[in-house]
Amino acid sequence: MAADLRITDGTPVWVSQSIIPSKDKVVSPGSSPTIAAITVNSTDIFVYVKVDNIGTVDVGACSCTAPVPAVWAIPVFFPGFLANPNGNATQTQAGVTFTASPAGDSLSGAVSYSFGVVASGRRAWAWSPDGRLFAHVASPNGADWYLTIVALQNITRSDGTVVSQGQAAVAGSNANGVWAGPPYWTNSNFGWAGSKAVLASGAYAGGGNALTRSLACPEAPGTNTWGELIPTFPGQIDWTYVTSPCGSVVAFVPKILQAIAGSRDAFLVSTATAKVVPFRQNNVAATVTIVGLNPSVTTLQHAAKGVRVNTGSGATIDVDDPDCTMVAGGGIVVAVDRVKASTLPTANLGVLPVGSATLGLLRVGQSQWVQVPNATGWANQSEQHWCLLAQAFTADGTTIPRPWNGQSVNPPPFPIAKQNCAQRNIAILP
Amino acid sequence: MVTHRFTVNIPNPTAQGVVVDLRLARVPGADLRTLALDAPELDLKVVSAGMTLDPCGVNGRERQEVKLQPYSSIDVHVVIVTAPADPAKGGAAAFHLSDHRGHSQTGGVMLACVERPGPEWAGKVIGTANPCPIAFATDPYAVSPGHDPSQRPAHTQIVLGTNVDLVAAITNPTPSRLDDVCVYLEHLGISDAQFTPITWNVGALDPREVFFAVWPVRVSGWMTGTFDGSIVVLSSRTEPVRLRSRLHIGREATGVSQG
Repeated sequence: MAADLRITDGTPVWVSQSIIPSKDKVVSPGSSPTIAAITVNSTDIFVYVKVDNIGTVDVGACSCTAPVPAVWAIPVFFPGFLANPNGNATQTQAGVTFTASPAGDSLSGAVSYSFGVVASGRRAWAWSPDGRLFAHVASPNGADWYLTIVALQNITRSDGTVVSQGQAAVAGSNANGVWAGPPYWTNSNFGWAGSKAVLASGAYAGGGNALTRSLACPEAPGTNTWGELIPTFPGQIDWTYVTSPCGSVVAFVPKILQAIAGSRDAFLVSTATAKVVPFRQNNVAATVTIVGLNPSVTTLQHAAKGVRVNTGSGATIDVDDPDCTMVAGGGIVVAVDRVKASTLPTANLGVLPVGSATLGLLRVGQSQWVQVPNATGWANQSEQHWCLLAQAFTADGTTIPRPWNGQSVNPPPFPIAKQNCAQRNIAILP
Repeated sequence: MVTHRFTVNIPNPTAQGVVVDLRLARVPGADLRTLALDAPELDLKVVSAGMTLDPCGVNGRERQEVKLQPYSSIDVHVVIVTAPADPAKGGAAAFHLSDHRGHSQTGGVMLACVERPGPEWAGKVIGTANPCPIAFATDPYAVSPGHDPSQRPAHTQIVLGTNVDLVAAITNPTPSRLDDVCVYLEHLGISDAQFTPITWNVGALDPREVFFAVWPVRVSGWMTGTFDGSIVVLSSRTEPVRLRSRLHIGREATGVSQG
């Protein structure tokens, strides 16, 4: 499965029919424009660029392809647990071995990482369900805990920065706490919520009916742990935590055990930002109020109002699917520059930007015309003969990187040999 | 007679000297018409055609060899003389100037001589037979970043140097449900504002239901005025359609309207 884009070359190569300067207002991106003559005073000319998806994946579609309907899943408790300072354990997965020993806990093999000595002997651990991360919780004194999440492969955070393989994506310095005890915490206090967050929940150490809960999100930038302290109402209100099918959010959903407790609102925490985000309906913030004992959340379609929340009493409310309603940075960017014509398309004779535009969705086998406005005019510098240089790449900058940046200092030759690059000779008349 | 003059740069961007064999060849009229140029269909009668290194030269050759030092270039002047075209019909002729180095063709340009009849073509609206019926519920507007997109401000402003959320409230004006609705922002016209590309998967949209698509826009450039952006809407079993999104950008002191 690979993304691949093409702007078809011409015959000869310098007259691509997929790059057309036109005065037409083309209603549909599926329709072809007619070419127009350009003068230095033209203000109404778009450059239309036809982009073909010749790959095997839709470009711009949501990357979450989890089958629907999908009931949002509860966290998976950490399976690994030791509470003995002298205990030993070894586990291996995909070439990475976790070792717990009195001399210290560590990862070895494909990844090397030292968690240090666990003074109290109390620790829990788990691989993420997708195997990209390893989570380890350790307690120096018994009641306290420090969570570290190690990247087992390069992890791209939501701001585009990368956590390199073998580095801590979540550090214990901002993912820690102290819970009541003894009895002290166990592995059931921690769970992977999908593969993008670790949920920790336990009784408040300060006494009374309260709990602290937090969500550590390795793909979030900055302080990537969200947490709160809340009062508890034993026998009246309980909580369940469920994760969207592709893990973009974790829902904190109350369960109303007795009618006397009234109702409580559910809320979401984004794993991309480690912040509370609202439920939305048609992209407007919406309140989801739980009134009964058995609430549930189910994705019915990957689109707006595609998630159905059972409020616990049988009544439902439909909200936007947080995994797929918005696909940010998932489309295609088409950028057009122009150069004074020479016989070499790679010569970069005075590169001027024309403009850029985006194509939000291009399915496999489809072709669409992208309308690129000219933001810089058509001054011809007393030279009529110019060449339009067009390129198509994915907006995320990584799936199909930008082939060329003509506005950089000393740009390299325009890579006309790449199939997502093409050129067309034009005349800019006085 | 009409003289068409073209100046073409022949570069050598390499560290080695090179000998360039330049060849000028007329594009057959039938081939020219397949290129869909904005040119009359009739062929212009060519009286002479050639290239010269003399900027004032009038006679040239169809084949020219030039030697280029490393990292240097030279201008070649192509002079094409055509007979006057019928003023009512115009005409066109084109030549390929191809660039051969070593034993292969390394590049080239096309030179078109065009005489148009009458005024310049104004362009037209090209429709589609089966357009996506999605429409704006109201003209696009801007709100402060993160604010409720369903609340259209009474005095919406886009001010240079600010960040805003551009909101497109789209709706289904038909009596039937539309499926697989998507919407994305194609461009903001010739403004120099920047936006974050987002594709919204609206899914099924019932009659008169409204979805609020939002794109963060950074108005950090220097251009003010009225700009025609383009928002594209899609739905199943229809052709995607561009919706014009007009926005006004101004300076803070003068205030700006949106709509």
